[in-house]
Amino acid sequence: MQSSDVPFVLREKFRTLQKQNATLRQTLRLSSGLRQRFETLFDASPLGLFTHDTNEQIVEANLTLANLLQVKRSQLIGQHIGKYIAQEDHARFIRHLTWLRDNNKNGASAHCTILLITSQQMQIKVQMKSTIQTTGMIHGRISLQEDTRYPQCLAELAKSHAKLRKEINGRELLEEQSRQHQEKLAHVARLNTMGEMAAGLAHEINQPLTAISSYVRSCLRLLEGDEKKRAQVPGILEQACNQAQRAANIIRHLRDFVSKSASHRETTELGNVVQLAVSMMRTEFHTHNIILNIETLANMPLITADAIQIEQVVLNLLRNASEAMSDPQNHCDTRHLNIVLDQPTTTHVRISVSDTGPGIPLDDMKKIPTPFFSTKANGMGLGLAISRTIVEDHGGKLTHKTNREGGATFMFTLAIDGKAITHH
Amino acid sequence: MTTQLTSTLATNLAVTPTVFIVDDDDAVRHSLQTLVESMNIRACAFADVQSFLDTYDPKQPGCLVLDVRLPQLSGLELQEYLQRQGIKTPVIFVSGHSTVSMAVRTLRAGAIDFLEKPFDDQALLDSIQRALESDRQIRLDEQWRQNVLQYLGQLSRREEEVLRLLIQGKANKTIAHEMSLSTKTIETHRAHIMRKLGVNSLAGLVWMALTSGEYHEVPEHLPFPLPEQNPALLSLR
Repeated sequence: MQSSDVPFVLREKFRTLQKQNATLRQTLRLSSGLRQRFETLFDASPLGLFTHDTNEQIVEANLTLANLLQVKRSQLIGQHIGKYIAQEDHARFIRHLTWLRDNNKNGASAHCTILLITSQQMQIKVQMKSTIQTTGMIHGRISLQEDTRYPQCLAELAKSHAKLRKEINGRELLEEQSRQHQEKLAHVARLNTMGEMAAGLAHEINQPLTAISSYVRSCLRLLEGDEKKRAQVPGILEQACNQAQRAANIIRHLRDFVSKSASHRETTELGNVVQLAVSMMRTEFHTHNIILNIETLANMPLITADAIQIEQVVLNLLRNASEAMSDPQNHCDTRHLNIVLDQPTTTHVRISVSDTGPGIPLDDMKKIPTPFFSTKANGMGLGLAISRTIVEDHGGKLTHKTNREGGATFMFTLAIDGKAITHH
Repeated sequence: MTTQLTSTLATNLAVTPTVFIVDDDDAVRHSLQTLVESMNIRACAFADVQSFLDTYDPKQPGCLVLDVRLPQLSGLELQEYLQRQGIKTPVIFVSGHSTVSMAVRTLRAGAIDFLEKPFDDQALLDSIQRALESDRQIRLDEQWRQNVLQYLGQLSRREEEVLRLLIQGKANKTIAHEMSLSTKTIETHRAHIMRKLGVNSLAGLVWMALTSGEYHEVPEHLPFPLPEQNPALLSLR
């Protein structure tokens, strides 16, 4: 009975062991599942979690902490925790741990507020809760005290803002310089124009001088005469004064035109500007028998513009038209020059200058407003390029076409408010 | 007859000469007119060539003061136009921006003067006086010529032929021979011619014929040949 009992007992033992084994295996499976679940939660925790040993070497850390410290988790493991604590808080941290270890019972925990330093040298103020285990391991839990990253981000932002500002300033300076260069160039072009037109303009001034001289001589003669003759003198002297005023006006206008004064926008009547440009060309038109016709819309709006610069553009177009028609090579019999002022849109006005010259050859059509392109023997090729810059600076466009009945038309628009379109 | 001639000329000279000014600049035009009038000379001003031509009567004695450059028709073109029309009214040019070639061109075309603006009033006055004097002479000459032509027009064909031969310095006998007429007939013709032309000498006869510009005959025996087409010798002025 006893002998027969032994295998039975063993068998029972074995069965129990098998059962225990199965339970253990199940527990292991369960445990590994739990482990995975724990790790997921561990990493997904909004709190930074880590464990360090008695030497304060990190043995475990979650992704939240790694992210907070701006390092990879693998770089964190094995590091001394002190590396990530601000210098000034080292002492506090040591006190914190010492206190924890002195109360060495399982589950004791302590809180402290310390500054962490990330790998990018950013300081983060955090709340640290350390819990000591029986093994001496300490579990750390880190929550953000307040997001001290924001002020630092702001500082960073301010820094990059300043950098951007500097860049913008630099660009603005360049733009200002370029604008000044354009102004200078326009001024040089005006001086050049004046130089080329000197003879004609001298004639313009000579006319009132001739009249003054004749009036005054008449007076001198009349003063030698009888009472009736002498009575005419005041009236004639009045005329002489008017002519002196006329000469003065011409000279003032010329001085304005060549003056170096910086560009300034003012309320401008376009018709006046055109008249002034025409007055400078009168002799030229006269000499070459050019018949001028000006058409203006009845209620042209006033515009904001640099009157001198716009006059420069008009003058340039008038001179081109005049030269095209009077060039003996072109054999122009009819010489008509038409200026039309109108308002194509509510925001823009337009000036067209049409001639009955030879027109623009197809090959030259595209090259026309490019700098240093000229069809004239001694032209600089800058006139239209400068004109285009001025027009665009006034929010307008300079275009040209060949007329159906021959000749060319150059026209430009101007923004009534005089503002340039900033996006091109 | 001679007294009758001078009296016709006198009536023409009685008309006051006028200075015609053409300048498109209002002030220059008006001041010029004022200046000329202050010299006690009649002046009439126009802004362009066309309005001048519209009112101008070539019979009116005077002179022109023209701006070289005028709208449409220029002063130069007016000068050329007047010459083509046979109008000899003297022209003074004024210009504000002149070139030498322009001045040469106008003077060569017979302009009295070319003045640059602004000009000296004395220079203008001198030029105007010269121009008016020249115009007076031209008109006197023209009057004389017209009168002579009128007298010459009374001659018959045959008398004209005799006159041509007389100018060539031929004797009555030679003329009679050439024309196959008797000397007596030639003498009668000669007497008729002298009476019709109102002269009493061969010299007067020749002078009348030559100044008419219609007779270009040359005497046969001269110490050296006459220069060809000498205008001074052909019409004597």
